[in-house]
Amino acid sequence: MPEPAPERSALSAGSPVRRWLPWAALAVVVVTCLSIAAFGSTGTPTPQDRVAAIAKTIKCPTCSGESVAESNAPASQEIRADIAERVQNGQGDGDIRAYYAGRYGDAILLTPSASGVNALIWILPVVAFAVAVAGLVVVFRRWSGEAPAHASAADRALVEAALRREHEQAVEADDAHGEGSSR
Amino acid sequence: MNVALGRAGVTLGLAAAVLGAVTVVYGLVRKKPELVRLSRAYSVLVLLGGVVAFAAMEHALITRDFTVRYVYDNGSTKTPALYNFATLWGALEGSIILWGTILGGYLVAVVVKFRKRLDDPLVGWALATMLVVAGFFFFLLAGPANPFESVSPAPGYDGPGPNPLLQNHPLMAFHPPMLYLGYVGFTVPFAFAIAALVTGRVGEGWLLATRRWTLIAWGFLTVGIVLGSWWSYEVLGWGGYWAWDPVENASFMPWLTGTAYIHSVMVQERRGMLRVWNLSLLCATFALTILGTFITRSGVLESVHAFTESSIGPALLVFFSLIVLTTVGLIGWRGDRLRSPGRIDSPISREGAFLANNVLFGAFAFVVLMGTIFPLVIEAINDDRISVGTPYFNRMTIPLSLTLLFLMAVAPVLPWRKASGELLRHRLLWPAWIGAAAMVVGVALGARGVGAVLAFGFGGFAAGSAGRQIVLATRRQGWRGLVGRANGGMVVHIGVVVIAVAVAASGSFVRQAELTLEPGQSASFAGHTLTYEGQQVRDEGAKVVNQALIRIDGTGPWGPSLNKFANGSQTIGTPSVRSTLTDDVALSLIQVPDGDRTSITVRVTIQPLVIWLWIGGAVMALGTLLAVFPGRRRNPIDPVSAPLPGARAGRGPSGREGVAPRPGRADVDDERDAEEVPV
Amino acid sequence: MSVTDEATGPARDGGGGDEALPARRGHTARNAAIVVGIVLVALIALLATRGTSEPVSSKIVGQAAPDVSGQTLDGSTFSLAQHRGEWVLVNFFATWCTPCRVEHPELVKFSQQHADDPVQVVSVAFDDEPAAIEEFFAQQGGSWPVIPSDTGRIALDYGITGVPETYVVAPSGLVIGRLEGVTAEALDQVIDAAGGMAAAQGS
Repeated sequence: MPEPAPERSALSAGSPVRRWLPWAALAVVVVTCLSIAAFGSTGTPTPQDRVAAIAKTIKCPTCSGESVAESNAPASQEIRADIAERVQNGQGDGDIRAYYAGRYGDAILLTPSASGVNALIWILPVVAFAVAVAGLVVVFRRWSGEAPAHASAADRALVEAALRREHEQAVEADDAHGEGSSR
Repeated sequence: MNVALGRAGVTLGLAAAVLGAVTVVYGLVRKKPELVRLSRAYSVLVLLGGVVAFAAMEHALITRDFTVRYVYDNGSTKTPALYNFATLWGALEGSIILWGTILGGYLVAVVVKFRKRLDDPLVGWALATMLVVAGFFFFLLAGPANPFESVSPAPGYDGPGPNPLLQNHPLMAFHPPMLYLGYVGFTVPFAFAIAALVTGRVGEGWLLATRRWTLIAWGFLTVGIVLGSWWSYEVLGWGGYWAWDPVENASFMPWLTGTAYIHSVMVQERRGMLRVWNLSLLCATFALTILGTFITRSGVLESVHAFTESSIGPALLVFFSLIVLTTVGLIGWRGDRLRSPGRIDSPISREGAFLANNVLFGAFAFVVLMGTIFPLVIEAINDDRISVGTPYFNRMTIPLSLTLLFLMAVAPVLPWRKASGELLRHRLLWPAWIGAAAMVVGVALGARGVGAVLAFGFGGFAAGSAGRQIVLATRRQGWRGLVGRANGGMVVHIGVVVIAVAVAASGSFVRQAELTLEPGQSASFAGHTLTYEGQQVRDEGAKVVNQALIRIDGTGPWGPSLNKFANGSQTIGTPSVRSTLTDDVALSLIQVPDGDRTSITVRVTIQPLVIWLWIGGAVMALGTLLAVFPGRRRNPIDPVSAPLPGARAGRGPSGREGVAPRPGRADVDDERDAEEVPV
Repeated sequence: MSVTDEATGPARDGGGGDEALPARRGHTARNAAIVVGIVLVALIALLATRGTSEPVSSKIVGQAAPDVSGQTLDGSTFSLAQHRGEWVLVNFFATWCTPCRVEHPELVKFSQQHADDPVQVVSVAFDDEPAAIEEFFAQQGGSWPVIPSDTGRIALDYGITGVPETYVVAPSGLVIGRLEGVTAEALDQVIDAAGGMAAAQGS
């Protein structure tokens, strides 16, 4: 290294233990937080919370593109009241949704089912994402197999000439851009 | 008179755009620079046509000239001045006037900016492309969506006024123009992309020329989207701000691809790679704006925001096909010859991070697109009807968003080319601790649920790295450390983090209930006390307002209302929101006293941190401004790839062209290199 | 759309080799463009063949008609069960809805044509005011029972998605048809197709 960055010397100082200690502590904090977040109790959901959660998955039948939780249309108010009644009567979330699907058709449910052709909506994005990631991995593999090209002195001369040319062009272009100019 | 003036404006715009496009293309093909330079005159005429049409329509609206079809359909003597002015973009035809006028403005801006290079084929083709686009929108105004049809109203006729939802909040006056400034702004980089493909000059020239334009368009689109969700929050009264509605998605998709572009374009600038990919992203962004307009305007999909169905659907679809076929054709024909050499040394590098960013944003846009059009696909396949709503979008996009947040934390500190583990350990330690601290605070305040807590953690982490970059830059460069693309970009990142945390908190910890209250009665919900004081009925001319006065924790009174508009039909509620820095209490009135019943029913939604969404939006806008502000001007003879003989290593930004890296330097890639440093 | 199909693009774009290796350059962009082009053409074809969205189809047709009961505008009570054995038209409407105004004369015409047949029309108002409904019927005619607002429950049971909607209930108590906006002729067709007036008891 002709001129090591100051940062680098700071980096190299210290034993592996000292270097890793802050990260180990960090890991402990993060894991603790996440386990509290995952297993800590939020209290049992109140019936009202359940009604709200179900309402979010049911489409308002008389409006366009809103859930009954969002819409204040009379039909939505009625459905919210109906859901509340059913929750009170002890019906399960799935049963309530099934009731509405029976009345209005599957289009009343805002979550498409994962069966038949409908499953494509869940699968396609995942597949596309996986293909993209796999493509990246393959390409990086290929790149790491290639020896990097080295620039020869002739190459550098070419680059320098090109840069000068570019500079001249850039100055002209700047004039044209009206961003102020060096002339 | 307004009809004649408006028609004259539209005709002028259409004629200038079509003639201009034909003249410029002819001049380019026949190599007649004097013809190509005529683009200047034609562009000015297009703008003039737009302005005349705009002024004629505003004049007609303000003078309530009901002989103009658009005013007949959407105007009313009862509409207050601000909403009356905004009525121009309150319905389909008028919004196209706005579109055409803004496009004319961008055309003239491009002409002014490139006034000395007008006969350069690249600029010529770009202007020709823009003129074609302008021609299409003026064609809509001349034919399928003509707002200047003349009608003869009965004496004493008063129009229905704009859609009640659109005259309920002043934000309506600002949200659509911002959105259109964004949508239309993407025409400029798109036009240059087409020009680059046609001329074969896909080097950095066109890209540097349009970089700032793209940022500006992106900034406007961002502001437009944030204002739009603010409007839904304040007006629709369900306590939410984003419903994954087709129209919202239509504005979000170009934002996603545009965001991917403004990141990946940096790889092209630095390394000369991804040229064709970047072109494709720009074309996709523009195509998505047109697709979004089609979805919004044609009525193929249901939406709260949709304009009524109209005859411009087919025209928009034809235009969309034209754009798609042209760009895909050009890329297929030219793409392979224009691709650039180069390789990325390591996935753990700035370029690697940008690639990951693109994959994630691409996947995000794909999910949104799937969710939006899938019901149509299913209906075509088996004539079945399904709905895709918030639950689907949330489940699919939350993991992507969390990954993006994490990437946003790591990427800014990565050097170009290659990073060593040691370097990352050093640079990321403090940001990571900030993230951990955010988690601890969140959990201590009672946040539960892995998703939300992770969002806080990654958010803090990302804010930490962005903050670190800003601190380092300002320490070195003073106030200049805040401007320029890299530094402004970090400010945008902070805005994104603020929004992400606000979304996670408000989405995860929302409480909602419906309360029925007698006058004078109080009720407690989720730590807030609501007292119903009484009812108030007012006739405001345009609407009859039935308001309930409610105190929240003793403040107020707040007045959610149900409004009956003069043009009949149903009642529209106006919610009332008490915002504080910690939480929002939103009230929307469901039932007012009626007959014997003296009680009201009010829906109360309590969400933490909602106000930070708008603050985050403002920070993003500020960051975009800083990024657009000319930063350091790179000395053109700086070594951008290999060092010139005698130059010292590590001084200048390296590797703009696709020249092979110098081994050994990679992992010490001086941090200053990551920003654009004055030399 | 283009987004995924091109998602692998950046990698390939960069990986295509350089001037020294023309063979490696390949046809990535062309092939990607062809794939994307095909997908997009399919999408455009799809969008072009879609009309405007029609409302959600009803699941209730073919099932037992949910109860329609309540106090009518004139103070008496109506119950669907009392009309078993007759054809019943359950019409959902609102005075503020323009298509409802348009279809109303057709309903009047239908009820007059079948004044002597075992046919009962009942209207259920949706989100409306009793005073407005009275005025509506006074102006537009029609003398069948009307169940005024605050009966959203019935609309819910029928799964209505908007007004106007009219359900044809057969004498057997099954819903046999659903129309959005009626004409007297269309109603006759639906009823005739299911056996006509003869299907009703007592005729």
